[in-house]
Amino acid sequence: MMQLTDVKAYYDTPRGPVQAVDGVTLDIRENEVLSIAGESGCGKSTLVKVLYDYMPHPLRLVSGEILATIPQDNGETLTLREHEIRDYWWRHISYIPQASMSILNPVVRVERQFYDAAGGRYARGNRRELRKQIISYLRELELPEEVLTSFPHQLSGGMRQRVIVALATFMHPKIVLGDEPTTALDVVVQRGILTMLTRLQRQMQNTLVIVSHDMGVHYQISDRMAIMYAGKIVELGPTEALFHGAMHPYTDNLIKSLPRIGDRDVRTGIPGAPPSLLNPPKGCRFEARCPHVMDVCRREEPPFHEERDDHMVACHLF
Amino acid sequence: MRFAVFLASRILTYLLVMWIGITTVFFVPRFMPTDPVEAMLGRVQAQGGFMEVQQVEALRRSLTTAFGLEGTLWEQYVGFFRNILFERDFGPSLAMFPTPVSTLIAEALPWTLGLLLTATLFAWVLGNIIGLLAGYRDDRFYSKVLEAVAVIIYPIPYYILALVLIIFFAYLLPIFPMATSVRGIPGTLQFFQSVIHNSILPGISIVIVGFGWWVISMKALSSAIAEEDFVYFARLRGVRENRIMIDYVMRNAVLPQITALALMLGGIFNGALITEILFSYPGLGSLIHLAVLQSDYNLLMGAITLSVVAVATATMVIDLVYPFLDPRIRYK
Repeated sequence: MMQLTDVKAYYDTPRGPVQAVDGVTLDIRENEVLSIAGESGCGKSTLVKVLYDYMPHPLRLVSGEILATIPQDNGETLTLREHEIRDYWWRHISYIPQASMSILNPVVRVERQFYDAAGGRYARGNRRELRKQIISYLRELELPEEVLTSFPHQLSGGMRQRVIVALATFMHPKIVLGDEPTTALDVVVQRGILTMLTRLQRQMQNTLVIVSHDMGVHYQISDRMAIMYAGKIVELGPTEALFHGAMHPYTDNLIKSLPRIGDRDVRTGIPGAPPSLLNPPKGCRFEARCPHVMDVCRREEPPFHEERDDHMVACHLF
Repeated sequence: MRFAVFLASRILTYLLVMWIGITTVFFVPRFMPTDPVEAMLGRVQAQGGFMEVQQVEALRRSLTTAFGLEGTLWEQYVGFFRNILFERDFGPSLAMFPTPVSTLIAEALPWTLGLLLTATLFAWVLGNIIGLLAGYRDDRFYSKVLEAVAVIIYPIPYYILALVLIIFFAYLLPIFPMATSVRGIPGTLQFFQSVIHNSILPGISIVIVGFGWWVISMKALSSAIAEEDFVYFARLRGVRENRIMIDYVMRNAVLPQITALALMLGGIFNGALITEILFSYPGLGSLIHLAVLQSDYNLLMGAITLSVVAVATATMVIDLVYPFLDPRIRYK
């Protein structure tokens, strides 16, 4: 579905480039839920922007290749490179942002905002026909028809996020990117949104990429999981395998930090802080915080390779 | 129902504001140390020859009646309100005795409204469009140029600007008249044409001075709105840029501008003092200027009352209309 080859995307700042995504190679498959985990500032949102081909100044694609191969309804395959993907926004690839109060235009009814995205550039017949389609789609998602004639402030936070999911999936895109779609919502609503997303993914047989820093969310919904640290993917593999046999010390520590029912021990965090992306270390980026650090880690960058079946890692231990 | 309660309480506030305003207008001149009747008598005596004591006394009585200064303060107050409410009468003008104040205002009002309404609305529309472009399309060359023009013109004192316009377009290039002079009989096409011809230069001067403020404020508003999540999300949805600019940025940014416009439109009933004097334009501003110079209390009270009513009405109208413009605002 999408291939990234050694992608480097930097933010140009007065102090030099911030290497937010630095040499990421990733293969996103058809009909899978891929989730990207990592702490704040590790570049996971930037990676989603790169996938979505949204790189406004100061973000810049420095090198590498982005390739999207999108199967069409007529059996042919549409091949898109960077700067071409944006022409198919919302039709083939859509984006769900983090829930926030002001994600929809406060002075325009929800209905109009559906038309803006669906009817504007990608006209689908006349408006009455479009309205009928939207209503039947909302009914499918068990959303009341009244949301269409509401203003955003009249909807609850959870309802607003459901409407946004509906907006993003209405055109049946082949790829849906969610950048922390459930962050800032309470857990009950979170569960509702996640169920809705996974159900839609199963129905549409498309690709769902979810970014989150909540490991519970990953375990709950994803088929494969990518762990990012300081602008690089350090481990990538099937979610089950990753949770039960983490290879990279960072992944291992992340999983160990999760609370378990019945366990009353104090959870230990990972000591230290991630390196500055303005001037990252020469060798492994986790070297300063790694409990298994070796001499080679400070000198050489570990290669990202397939260690076990479909399970990739970048660490000198393997 | 909710609307009816809101409307009733809003109208009550409206009436209260006007009552307080007009009462102040009534009392302030009466607490002044000068007596308008004595001032008028003095002027009459200074102009003309000898008057008998009885004649002076009779004149004093009739002037006191004409100025509404008979009886106790309370009787005057009741009479003043009765005249305003039922006859819309402010008594005779003292400066242009015996023409009624209401006639003078009625004559000056169309001039001022025609000029200021057009010029204010034009400046508002122009300034907001430029401000929107400058705030939202701030990377484009033309928006930088337009903004620079507005910012350069904005701090020029109005007085200087108006004089420069008069020198260039009325004296060096005599396209427009130096001072207002009307030809033709009111109601005819010739009269209408000459009114327009006389109003263009003062109108332009008001627009030039006025639109800079709208540019600066609209730029600040729209560049703040352009950073909002919903604009960013609209872009990610592939909504066209023009639609984002109009429906997402402008619709939100223009709301405070509408409030400011409404208050300004209420204020135009004060006339444009400097404009009208510089261009000798026969509007309310000139009238108020005359009233102040000649201590014409009745005329002043009439003009100020009109202004109080206009501002109070504008504020009420905007309160009533606002929920239709911004769905987040409710009648309470």
